[in-house]
Amino acid sequence: MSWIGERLWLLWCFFWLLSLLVALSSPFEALRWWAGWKKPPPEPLIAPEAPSQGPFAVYLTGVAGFSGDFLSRRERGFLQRLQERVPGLQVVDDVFPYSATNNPLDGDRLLRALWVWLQKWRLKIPNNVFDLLIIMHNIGQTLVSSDRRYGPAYNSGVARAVAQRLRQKGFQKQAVYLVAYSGGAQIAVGLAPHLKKILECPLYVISLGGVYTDDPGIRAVDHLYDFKGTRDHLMPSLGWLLYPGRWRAAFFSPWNQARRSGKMSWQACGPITHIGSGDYFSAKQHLPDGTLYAEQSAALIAALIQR
Amino acid sequence: MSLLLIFWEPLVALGILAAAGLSDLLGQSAVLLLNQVSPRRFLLCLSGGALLFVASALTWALGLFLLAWLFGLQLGLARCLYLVAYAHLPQLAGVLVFLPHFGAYLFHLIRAWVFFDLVVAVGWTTGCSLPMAIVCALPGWALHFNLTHLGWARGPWRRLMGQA
Repeated sequence: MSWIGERLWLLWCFFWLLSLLVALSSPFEALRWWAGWKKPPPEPLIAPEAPSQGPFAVYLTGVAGFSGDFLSRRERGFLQRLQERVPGLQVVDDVFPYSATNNPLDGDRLLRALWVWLQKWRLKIPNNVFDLLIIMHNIGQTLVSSDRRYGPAYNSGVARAVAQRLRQKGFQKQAVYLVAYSGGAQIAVGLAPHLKKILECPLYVISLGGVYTDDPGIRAVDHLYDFKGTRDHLMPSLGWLLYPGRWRAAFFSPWNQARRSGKMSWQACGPITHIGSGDYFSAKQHLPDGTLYAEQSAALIAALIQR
Repeated sequence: MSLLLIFWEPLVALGILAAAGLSDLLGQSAVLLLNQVSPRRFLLCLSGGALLFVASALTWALGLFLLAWLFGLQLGLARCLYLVAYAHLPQLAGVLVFLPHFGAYLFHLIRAWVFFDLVVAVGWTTGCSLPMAIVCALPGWALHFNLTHLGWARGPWRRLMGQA
């Protein structure tokens, strides 16, 4: 093997070893918080807004998320389009769904410096190889959310953060729409029973290319709408492959029960990909009728909220 | 030193069992954290649990010896201990049970692997048939992994954890 080949092989092994360590440590954050070994970060002092009549949506970003404050420009643009279409819509978009304590990657963490460094590189060179570590961290948290052992603790933490932000936005027991992209869909179905218990309100999940499991939380959702691009194959299929509860053979799984009871609807939304320039938030690519992908995504969701 | 040379084989066997027990408990330690045990109680439970694991494996070895004797197989007590200990080698990866999602499957896979390790070892050592080896290994295995299943948190575990 050539010198370069050997180094590349070593780098490849190192990457997987690091990924395994990240995956192994992923339940620790939620469990340490649950066990009371670690205090959650202090809640930000934000004065509650006046009670609002408008519908409420919570946006849960995909596994590339970094913090509650950081959303990509495309996601921000999409949310703006959605708010323009639904007058009075209150959007909570600053909950970091990949932490049980809403602790961003640049928050109070042991590896804070590493995450900040990776984020700096990511902003300089988008889609660089170091992005993968952030994604691996967040995939780990998605797996924690879907795990029957860790899920209840993790999801209750995220639900608490979402409920707090909704109350600050002037929530008054209206319907809540959890708009989730990619891995955020798993967090949405996972936190649903806890959020419903806290807020006692109707709860809808709207997924854009969602990767989610047969989480029992699906039972607490009033309806799940799943929009999927016809060129978005890999990620949603991965959810199906990894979670046998989604297979038709698992007749009594929560997922199959929800499917049979008509709680779930699927809709194809054009030749959209999971990531890249042709994704659900793209303001560059458009459908044959001239509608931008982001515009279509916003329109589909707005139509559901305004029914 | 000479004692070590004489007893190296039982010591290695017990060492494997203790390491396997510790790894298994670390893998299952989520249960402890979910039960909101203190860090001190967590460490106590891990060390106590490893000892309990070894004791439970020794019971398995004893059960294997008694059943082998009952069926007329040529298997001494010391040999039973070694077979049970070496069958636990896959259990050294028990810490991976901590992995989210995949860990739940690994938990069952490793337990099944340990069982089949022992079945093959008994069959190979004594030359008995496969059903006979299964009959000899099964009761002890069921007892051993029932006792060391943290999720069920019964009896000694509940006492170790303090609360559940």
